[in-house]
Amino acid sequence: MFPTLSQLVYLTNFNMKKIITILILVIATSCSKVIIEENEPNTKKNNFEILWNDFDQHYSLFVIRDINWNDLYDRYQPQVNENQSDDELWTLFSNLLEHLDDSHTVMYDGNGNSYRSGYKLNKQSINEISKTLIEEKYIEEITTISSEDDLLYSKIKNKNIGYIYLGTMDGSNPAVMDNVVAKLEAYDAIILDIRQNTGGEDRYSARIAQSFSDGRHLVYTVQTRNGPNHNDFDSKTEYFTKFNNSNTYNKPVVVLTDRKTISAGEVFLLHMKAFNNVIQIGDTTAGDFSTLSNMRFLPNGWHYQYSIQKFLLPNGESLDGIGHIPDVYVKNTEADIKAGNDTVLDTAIQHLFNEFGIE
Amino acid sequence: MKLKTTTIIAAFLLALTAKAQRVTSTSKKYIGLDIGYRFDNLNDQNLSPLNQKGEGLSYSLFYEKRKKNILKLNINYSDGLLESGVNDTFETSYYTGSFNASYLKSLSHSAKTTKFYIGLTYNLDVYYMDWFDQDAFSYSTTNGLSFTGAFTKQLNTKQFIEGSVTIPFLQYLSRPPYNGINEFIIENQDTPVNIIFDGELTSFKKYKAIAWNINYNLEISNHINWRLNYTLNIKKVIEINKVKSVSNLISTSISYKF
Repeated sequence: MFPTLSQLVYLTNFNMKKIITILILVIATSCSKVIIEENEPNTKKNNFEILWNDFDQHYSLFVIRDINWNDLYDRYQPQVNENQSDDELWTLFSNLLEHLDDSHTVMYDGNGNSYRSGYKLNKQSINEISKTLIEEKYIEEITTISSEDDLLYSKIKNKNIGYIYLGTMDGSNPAVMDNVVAKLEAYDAIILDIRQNTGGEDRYSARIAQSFSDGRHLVYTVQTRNGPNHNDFDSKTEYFTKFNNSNTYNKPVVVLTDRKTISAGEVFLLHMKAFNNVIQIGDTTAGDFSTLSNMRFLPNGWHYQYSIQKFLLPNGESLDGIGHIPDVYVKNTEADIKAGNDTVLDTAIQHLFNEFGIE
Repeated sequence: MKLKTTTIIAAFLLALTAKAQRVTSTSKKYIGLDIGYRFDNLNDQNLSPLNQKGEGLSYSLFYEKRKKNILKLNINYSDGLLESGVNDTFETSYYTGSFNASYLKSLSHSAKTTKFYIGLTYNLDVYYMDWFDQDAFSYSTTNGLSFTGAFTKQLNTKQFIEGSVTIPFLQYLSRPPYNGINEFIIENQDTPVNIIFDGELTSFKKYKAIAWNINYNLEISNHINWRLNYTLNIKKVIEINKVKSVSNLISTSISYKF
């Protein structure tokens, strides 16, 4: 009648294994649902709420750009309804974000379409410069630096002036600029063209600028938003120009800019404009300095980024939304380019002749 | 406070070493490799407001010394893919690494088939998520001491079941700042160790976690041991950017007994 000892051990083991297996299955399936709450619903209204709240909690330039974000909620939120199409919602979001006039605010739909706030003038400037025209008409002895993105140096045709084009601050070896400057040292001046510079890393900008540095200057401070109030920022981090006594360039440097000189390109200008021998010629820059946020995500698959910092000049002023105003304002039109003239480059060459007798 | 905790951790590790050296030659030692598959569900508000779910492979190297008491050392690496958003369109890579050192003291008579243990675990856990070449990223690093309770049930001479529960009580927690990025992260992006270990001593109120493991062991031969493992990890970080995470790991290991 009674089971033997070995049968009991077997039964105990069998039951224990069964209990453990069931326990594991129950825990594995139920824990996730208990701990992780319900996912964000993918409704039009909820997508709007997440977007608006995320900006409200994290975007850094409401005060500097004088944006009343609550007013914009009252204006746009009632326009959101569940019957509107994705295209209509995209337009509504774009209209909301356009108020920021900040090309560091970018939205992607995940299907190859994107929207960038305050980008109209930046976009227009793409057709106001032609690298082909520059290379064919204005410069000679062109050397491209293969290790860097969009960096070349040359000389202006028939002039004793060196020319550098730098299209991005995203390269891997900014110290190469020391060699470039050394190659151009024999010329009486350098034109440093950063029109259409798409930005990149601020550290890269600082190191490039070091090749032209005349000393250590406080150039700007950075603060990152760190709280729910629009004025919550961490303490200031100060940034100085870098200086190497054995490697300086004291001859005139003309920096060419346009509306699409942006972000780390503008941070580069913060460094360069601290030097006595540098002047800026061209159009006002974009006026977007901050590091971009991490990509942010919406339930409907759209994603976006925005500014999370404020950059201030040593006097406390901000150039966000303003940009670097050039010492000599001049801009190309599409007609200029089509007619084979780069008026900005012509003005720089003329300026070096007028001010320094360089030809 | 940081120095105090480091001292406690150092003392704990020294105690482990000293204790390990006192164990006689009759103890059983195991060194082995564990391979498993993990299933993750999480929500990290720093990365995204959306829930993430995913899975990936897990690899561990472990060393155990068992006599009356148990010493365990374990290094783990795992990676995988998390999905979120409508139709799971957002795919985020994740990488985890951990090191655990546990010393478990027996509370039971050595002749019993069911034994209970209690002890301490030093843990270092790193969890890093990266969406599309760091366009979005988040991390969570903990480093400190945990209480561990365990039991073993000897089924017969060749089989036993072991279970354990680990609850952290003294932890340094490192999480991204309020906005995900700040100047400290930008300045230290080439030396991520500085970022990962830029933690603060956290309270039980801010950081709660529990790890539950159960495993079945079969001695295949005098020197080879096979193990089937199930581990459940639950973590909750109540900070500015909250984290909730549930991870289920099923793994198997082969170890060499000597």
